[in-house]
Amino acid sequence: MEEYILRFEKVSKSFGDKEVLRNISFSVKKGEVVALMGPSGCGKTTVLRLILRLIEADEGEIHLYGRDITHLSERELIDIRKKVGIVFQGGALFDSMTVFENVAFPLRYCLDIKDERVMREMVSSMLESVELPDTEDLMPADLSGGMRKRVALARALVYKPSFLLLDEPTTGLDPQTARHIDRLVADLSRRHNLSAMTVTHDVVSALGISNRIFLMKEGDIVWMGTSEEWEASSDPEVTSFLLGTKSIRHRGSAP
Amino acid sequence: MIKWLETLGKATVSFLDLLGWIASLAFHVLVHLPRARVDLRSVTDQMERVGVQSVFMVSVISAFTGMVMAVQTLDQFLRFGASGYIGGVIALSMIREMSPVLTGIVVAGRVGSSMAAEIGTMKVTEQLDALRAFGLDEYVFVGVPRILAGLVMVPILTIFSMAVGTFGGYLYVAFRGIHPLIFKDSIKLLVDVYDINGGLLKSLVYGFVISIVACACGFRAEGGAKGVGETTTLAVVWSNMLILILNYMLSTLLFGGRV
Repeated sequence: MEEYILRFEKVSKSFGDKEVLRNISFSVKKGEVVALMGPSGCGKTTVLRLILRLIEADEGEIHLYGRDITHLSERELIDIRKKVGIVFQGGALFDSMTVFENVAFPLRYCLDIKDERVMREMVSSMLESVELPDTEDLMPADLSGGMRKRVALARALVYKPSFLLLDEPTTGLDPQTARHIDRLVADLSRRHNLSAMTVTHDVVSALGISNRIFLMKEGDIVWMGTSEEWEASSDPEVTSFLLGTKSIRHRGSAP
Repeated sequence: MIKWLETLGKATVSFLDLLGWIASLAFHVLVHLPRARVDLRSVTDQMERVGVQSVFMVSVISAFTGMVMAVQTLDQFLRFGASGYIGGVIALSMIREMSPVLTGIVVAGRVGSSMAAEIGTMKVTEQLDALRAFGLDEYVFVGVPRILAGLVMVPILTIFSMAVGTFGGYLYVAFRGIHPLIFKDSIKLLVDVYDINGGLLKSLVYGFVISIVACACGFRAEGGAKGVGETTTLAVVWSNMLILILNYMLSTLLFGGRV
């Protein structure tokens, strides 16, 4: 029997009168990297926020690590949240803290590490793996967009979560930095045997790092398949999305 | 007329809504405080921000307020031959009313606004979500250091204001030829420990009000820079309004009918 890390069962979510997710169901297997694609406003980020229960689902069940999180108390959720790393769209680095303090934050508060020397070593090694050595003393305001995303990635990975959520990790970056981040994610997920879910509308990025792709449209998952099936697909939804993003010319050009 | 009533109704609903949210935030923070992980460095940073960085402004405002009170009252006292009471009256006004209120208003304008803006920015840039994702209670983690700083530093600033304001009044009175001993003796005669305790109790309440209102407004920020700006304004307006309303209530409760 396959082991699932995440399972959505008939999940719906509305904001006011606007129905953002309509009865969606899917699952993510252990060690699998899934790309969630779709046009802006189709509900991709809402899915990510529901996984950590940063917002509440209106209906349905969300099973994370085998437990239905929709009924857990905030206190019970703490241990589950600590197993998941997340990179928010804008990085969500803490403005008042240095790069070191940002990356060390989960070590201090999730792993309860108090030894400053151990923390320094872990942070330095993580910053090196995202190719940002010697940036510990910089403030988030001193960093470029790409650097902020890489620091956010370092912060999400430093405490070795087993499931990584990425909210548009390459949006707003130049192609070179975007591919650099893709390589980092692919490499780190291989090395750390991570399961991951990345929200993106960058087709090149999705094909480069994911095993499976889910295509969303107006709150529904309209297509699901492997990267190979995506490339071979003549499904009208896939074609329409590719035409919509004007990315059809990139088909097959993984980094 | 109908439009005016509608505006008044909306403002009342918004005020009551905010009061409800403030009460539930305060309850949440108090309930979760015993198990909370509070960042001590953040507490000291906030104390410096509320206290140390406000000392100069509180000093200047208090000194000039004390002087203006002396300017307004001295001649009247001289007219009725009561110049022997001038020091006590100035000190009593500063201790019971002016210092707690002025300090509260200065801190609300200077620190409450920036607290609300900071928390609002954290909200719209998903930093509060990041805290939750790391398994922390964002209301406690962000709110507690600010509330503690308000509770500790506003009373300290108020003591400072009481002293500086009274000294400001003394400078003007001395300049007009009243002997320092007369000023000092009248303070001894009219002011007792109860007055100081009452003033400090007020400042403790205002310290709590400023920080909890700033946090409550910040946590509710929505919609980017515009939302953060509105939040900041709201925090200052509601803090000042609550300080003045509570000041009337506390004055009546603590000093009403007391000679």
